[in-house]
Amino acid sequence: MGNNEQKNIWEDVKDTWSSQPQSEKINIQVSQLLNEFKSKVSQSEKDSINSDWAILKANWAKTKRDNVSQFEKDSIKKDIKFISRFIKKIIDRFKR
Amino acid sequence: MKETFEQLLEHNKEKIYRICKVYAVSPLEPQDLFQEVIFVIWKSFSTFKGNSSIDTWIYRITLNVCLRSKQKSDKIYNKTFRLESIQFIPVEIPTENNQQEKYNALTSCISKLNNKNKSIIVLYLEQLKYKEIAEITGLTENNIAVKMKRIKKILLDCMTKKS
Repeated sequence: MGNNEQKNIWEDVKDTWSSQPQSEKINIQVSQLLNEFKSKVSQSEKDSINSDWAILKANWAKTKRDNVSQFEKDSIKKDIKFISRFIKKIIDRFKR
Repeated sequence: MKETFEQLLEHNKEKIYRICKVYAVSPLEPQDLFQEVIFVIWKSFSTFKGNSSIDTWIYRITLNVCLRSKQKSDKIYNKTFRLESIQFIPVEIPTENNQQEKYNALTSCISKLNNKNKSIIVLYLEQLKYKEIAEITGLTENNIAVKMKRIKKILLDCMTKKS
């Protein structure tokens, strides 16, 4: 196929593309559209904030759990045991 | 700002819709893609700095939205709603329309291309220069020229088979 023939074919294809039969006419009411967009944005902002909040909550709970080391857990357990024993002693004294 | 946006839409709505029709795959309708593109244009409008031409900017947004839509699940699109302010009024096309047949054959062949090649040929058909296509797609001008040679061959083979 020669260069000129190729060129003609592609001009024809471009023409087919740009003059494609319009099956629909697009009618846009800009003022109404802007109002709809504004309400869409505020709804999507709300959704986005809720989603961020859920992620934050989940991460915070996870961080809290993970940040307490085994040593701290054992130490707290030991302290509680000591305090319980101490309170029991005091109560026993009062009972006498 | 409203007037500028209105003019922008008036001037570009047909070409945006032409591209949306190529990328819309069921269950997604071209109308859904169109309103999504218009929404993104509106959201980004204030950030347009004029570094590229407004046409280049519009094409870039349109293609990005269309390509991104392919990655979204049906679930997300079930949530989308139709804006009442955008109406698509059906226009009757003569049944014996040779132009329509040629157009259907062309779009059917374009739909078989991969996404990148689809973007390149759509921009070429929109009469953009290789330099502009390169700017929008992020490829080099030489790369576009090489790709165009291949795409043209694939499309011509496909359309010849169809006719």
